[in-house]
Amino acid sequence: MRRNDKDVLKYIYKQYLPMVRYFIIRNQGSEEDAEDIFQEAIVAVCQRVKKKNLALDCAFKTYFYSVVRHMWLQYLDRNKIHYEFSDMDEFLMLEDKELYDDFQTKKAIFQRRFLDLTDLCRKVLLMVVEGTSYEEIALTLGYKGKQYAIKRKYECMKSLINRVINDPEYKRLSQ
Amino acid sequence: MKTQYLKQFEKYYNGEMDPEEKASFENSILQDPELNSSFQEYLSIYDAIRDQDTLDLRTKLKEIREERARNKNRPDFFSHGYNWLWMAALLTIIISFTVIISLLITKIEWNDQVASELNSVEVLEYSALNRELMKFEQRNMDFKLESPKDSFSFNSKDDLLFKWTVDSVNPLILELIDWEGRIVFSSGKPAISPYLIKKKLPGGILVYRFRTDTEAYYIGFLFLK
Repeated sequence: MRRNDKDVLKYIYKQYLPMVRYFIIRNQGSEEDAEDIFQEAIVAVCQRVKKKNLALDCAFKTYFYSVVRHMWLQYLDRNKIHYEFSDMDEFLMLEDKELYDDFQTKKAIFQRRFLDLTDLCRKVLLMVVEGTSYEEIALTLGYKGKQYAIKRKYECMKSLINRVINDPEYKRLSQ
Repeated sequence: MKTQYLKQFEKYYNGEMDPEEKASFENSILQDPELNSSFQEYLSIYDAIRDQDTLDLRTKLKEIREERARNKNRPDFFSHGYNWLWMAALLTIIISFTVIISLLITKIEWNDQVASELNSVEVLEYSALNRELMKFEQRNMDFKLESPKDSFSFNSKDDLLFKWTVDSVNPLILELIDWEGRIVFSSGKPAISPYLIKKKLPGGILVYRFRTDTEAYYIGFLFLK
């Protein structure tokens, strides 16, 4: 998980997605919600493994289920959906306040929408955040000059923001 | 976040504002909460893109999700109507293959049956005659047949003359046996040389046998036309 190993991720998918799907669908969610929450739970757990040196004193399955449960509760609260929870496994009450809060949720939306951009747009924006000058961007990507690189970056940023503000979850968060 | 501020934000972020414009913009941010909030979110986008490790993780998760969706939506060959042409071709191949195999098996069975029938006739004929001949132990005696000596073929309407000499005091019975092991003639009582058979006999190959109660002294063949 520290190395974002794809085989490990596939294994987690295979092992735990059915459990998450069952839980979410049983608690007023859809198949799509289940996959979204499942992915966000993996991201959250990986971040905690990498940055917070997560040490578990319970089974990984219990911890993972607890993260999913916590996230789904927040989702239902955020969307003002009334619920009577139906649990299917033992779980931990997580005190992690950053887990799926508004800030983290928005960050997730920005990242997901960024990945929806074209390869070229992603490349331009990545070079900008890495501190590459517009002259160098123009040279690397074969643009006519600095001004054209600035224009391209503006168009890519506009496209990204439009995707973000049209994201249903972002709309709910901004209400 | 609103796109109406984007040009301003971009100009500020790219360092394209002159000092006066920059100061005015920074003042506006302090005064206008909505502009401030939008600008903070605009900066958060850069922070989100800067988190390369999480982006890498999300890229892989996205790929896995798309792979799974593709596999889920992959048309099932047997459950979709638009594959009828392939199914028809497959069915034709299966039927042709079955017919060819059936024909081959039928031919082999027929060959086996013919061979078995031919063999069984031989075995039956041989067995019946053989069984009859094996009833008596074959014994080497000083038996000399004088008639029929060199002849093999006779007319079934003619009398058959047997002449022999034997160095034994045991009485001999003369019998004629057909190819199916049936005794078609027996002298009944001990035969004395010369012995003439006047009875009309069936045509074909016959075996003649001189025997005592327990042993066969001589066996020969003749053909009656």
